[in-house]
Amino acid sequence: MASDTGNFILWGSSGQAVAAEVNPLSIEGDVTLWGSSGAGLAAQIQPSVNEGNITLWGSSGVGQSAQIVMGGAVQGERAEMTLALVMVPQAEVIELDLELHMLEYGQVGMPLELLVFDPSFVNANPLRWSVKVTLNGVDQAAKLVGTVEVDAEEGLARTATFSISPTGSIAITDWVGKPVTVDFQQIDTGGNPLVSVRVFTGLVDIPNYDPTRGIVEFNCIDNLNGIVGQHTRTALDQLIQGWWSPFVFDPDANSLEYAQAELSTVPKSLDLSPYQAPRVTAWAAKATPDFTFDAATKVLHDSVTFEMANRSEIKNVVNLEMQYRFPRLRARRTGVSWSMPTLFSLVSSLVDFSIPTKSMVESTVNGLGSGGWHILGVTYAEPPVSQLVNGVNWVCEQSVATALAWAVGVTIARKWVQTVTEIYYMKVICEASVTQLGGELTEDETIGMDVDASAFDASGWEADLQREPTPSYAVNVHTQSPPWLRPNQSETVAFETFTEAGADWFQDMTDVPGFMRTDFEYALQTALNKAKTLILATHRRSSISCTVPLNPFVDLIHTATVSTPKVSGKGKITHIVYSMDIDQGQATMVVDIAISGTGFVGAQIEDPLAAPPQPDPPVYTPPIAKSGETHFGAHSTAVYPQKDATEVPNGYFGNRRDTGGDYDESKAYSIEFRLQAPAIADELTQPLTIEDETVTTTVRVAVPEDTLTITG
Amino acid sequence: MAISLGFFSDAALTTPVATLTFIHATDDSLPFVKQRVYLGSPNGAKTYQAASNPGVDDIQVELFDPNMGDGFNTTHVKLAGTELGLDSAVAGDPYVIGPTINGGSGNAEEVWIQVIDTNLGNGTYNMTPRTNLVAEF
Repeated sequence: MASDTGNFILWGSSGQAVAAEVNPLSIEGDVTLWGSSGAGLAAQIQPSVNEGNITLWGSSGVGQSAQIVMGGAVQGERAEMTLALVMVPQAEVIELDLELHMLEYGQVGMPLELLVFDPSFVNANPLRWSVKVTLNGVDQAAKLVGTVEVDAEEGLARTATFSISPTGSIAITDWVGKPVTVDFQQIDTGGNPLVSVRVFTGLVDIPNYDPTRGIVEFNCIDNLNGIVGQHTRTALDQLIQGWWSPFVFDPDANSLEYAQAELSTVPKSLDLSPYQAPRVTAWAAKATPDFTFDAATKVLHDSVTFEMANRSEIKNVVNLEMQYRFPRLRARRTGVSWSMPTLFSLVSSLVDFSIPTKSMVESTVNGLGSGGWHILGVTYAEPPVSQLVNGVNWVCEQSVATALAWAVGVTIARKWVQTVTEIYYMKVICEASVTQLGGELTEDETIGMDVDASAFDASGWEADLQREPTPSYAVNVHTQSPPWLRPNQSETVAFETFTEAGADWFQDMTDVPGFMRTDFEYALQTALNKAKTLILATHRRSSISCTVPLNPFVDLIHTATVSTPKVSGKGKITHIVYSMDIDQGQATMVVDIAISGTGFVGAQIEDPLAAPPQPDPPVYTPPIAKSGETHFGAHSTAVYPQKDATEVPNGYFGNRRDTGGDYDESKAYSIEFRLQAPAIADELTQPLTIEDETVTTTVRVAVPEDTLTITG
Repeated sequence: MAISLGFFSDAALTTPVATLTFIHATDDSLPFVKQRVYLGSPNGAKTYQAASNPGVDDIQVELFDPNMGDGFNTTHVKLAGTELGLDSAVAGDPYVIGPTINGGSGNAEEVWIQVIDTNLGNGTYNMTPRTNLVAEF
């Protein structure tokens, strides 16, 4: 029943009863029932949800009835409501306004099949068995020849090979991709299957035809890659429950690569069940083995082997270097100033001297705006007007003073961006292995995370004082900000230095989505888990292998104990090759179990895989800006160099204008006014690396020690 | 047309469960395996609620025994939302999910199933874990 929204109308004719039954799951609007006089009108409506008002109109002359049944349509309680109709004279219409939503509904289920068998059959002598192979849904029993082999290995696609002796023409390419199943069966003396156990579900990868023997050999796979490749990253996360960061792994990875990457961070393997269902199995062996292979289970003579892991393949230390690079926004407010000496001191030594004009000072002040500085405010002081100073008649008319500068203070601010790189050194180590194997077997890895440069307009931020994020203090203050007039110097004016500009402001751009510090810490933990998993993986490469009669219930998810006079051990099964030789009537399997361990006796310490603490925030208070100086030339003691010299202080360079006793024209300066913004230390502007190679955070990993006994 | 809610073998909701097979040995020598399936719909535009009272009643997974009397009863099967939940689950009880299941693979509900000791003889037995009546919105 399709979902529908609309008017539901029942029509009835005169003299006939109108009867209808609808079973909507919800009613939100209009349903109209039309009835005529002279006939009964009966309608039954069973909504599960009623969201609208229901109105029935009936006519006089005939009793009308309608029943609206509330509640579940199929199951559950019903709440019945019978409506009394308003009988309107001459009316012949019963109208019920409803809107129906016709919804799909149903129950969903799945068949659960329980196979119960007598396990002694796998040890029966003789074991009556057969193998059922279906190709594209067709049982190949009559055509099977040779050996059917299924190879299941931890983390890899399960494969199957079988051969048939076909008849008639062969369209060999038609078989490619066709579904294949393999079931191992216990049969009775009549050949009837008693128990059928699936060992492979997949599809044909390559069919090969041998014209000499007239045999087609089918190589089949369970399509692990194809099935995993169809999963979304979210689904893979739910399945694997590992770690994945785009700063540790390829951010453009496809689903298969993504799964492999995430699996490298957890001690688990992903493969498909015999029914082709994805499953993830922990490497850790269970405390109690699922199966035991010993004399009772007929381990084939001389089939047990032990293979020791190659030392060169073992890693017991992973050195991690992790870098986090981000922009650090900085801002500084400061000032530059200059003033003439006090008038008292000037008139004591000079008769006449030059004074800079405001226009001269202004052109210099405007130049401060280059180099990234912003001018927030400029304050001038004019020369004192005519007065008697220390017995000297100082002459300066107000009209002249207005054009001159006696002192100036400029408040400036700058924002700039510094690139900061934090570097962390971590060492993930299995100390037991280092002790046991006589040294560190290392793997080095470096990961880096750069905050995307395009995520922040650095130059635009630097150029605009108002653009967020802004410093915590105001940078656009024009009044009530430095400089302040020097107090208690009534005979002149000057400016104090900018003692209240305070420390630099900074803010780290570690809040850019996708590049936040939490993202870095997640990447760091991903790398730590990957390192731990590498150590665990390389310590489980020793294995015990044995050949036993085929037991189709043994799978990669199981833990097994192999117990023989020479070699005994317990571990997770990592590899099974089921072999069903139809011609010889022999069904065996080769089982490999992984032996995890270092050989170390004693407790191992396991540290939490936590990110190290971040560096302390920077604090930097710039030196107090120095006020500009005043120097007069044309004086015998004048020492400052002439123009074009670079190493000269801020301030005013003028000349005495009288020709008194120690006047020396040869030492006259080129009159100029200099103001320069204070330099910012390179350590605050150049790329900064925060690291301490002498401090390495050590994380200890404990390797599980599986049981292993070798007897000479 | 049937609703698109279903049981899947993967969280991505790409592979519907054909048959969920459990294997037991008559001597209980095999472990009582716990299996996980996913209940959900790949159609992210749909939501599902109990038809009995949508949005109020819970959707639940219950057990239906199609062959009563064969010895394999609902009390041999446990249902839970987590693997650990199976330990405390009461065999035969439904697993209550909640009033709504949203479509989309990210909203798949895990359903864990375990068949416990049955003392059954050789043979194949059937059960049907299924939802109550669910409406698709």
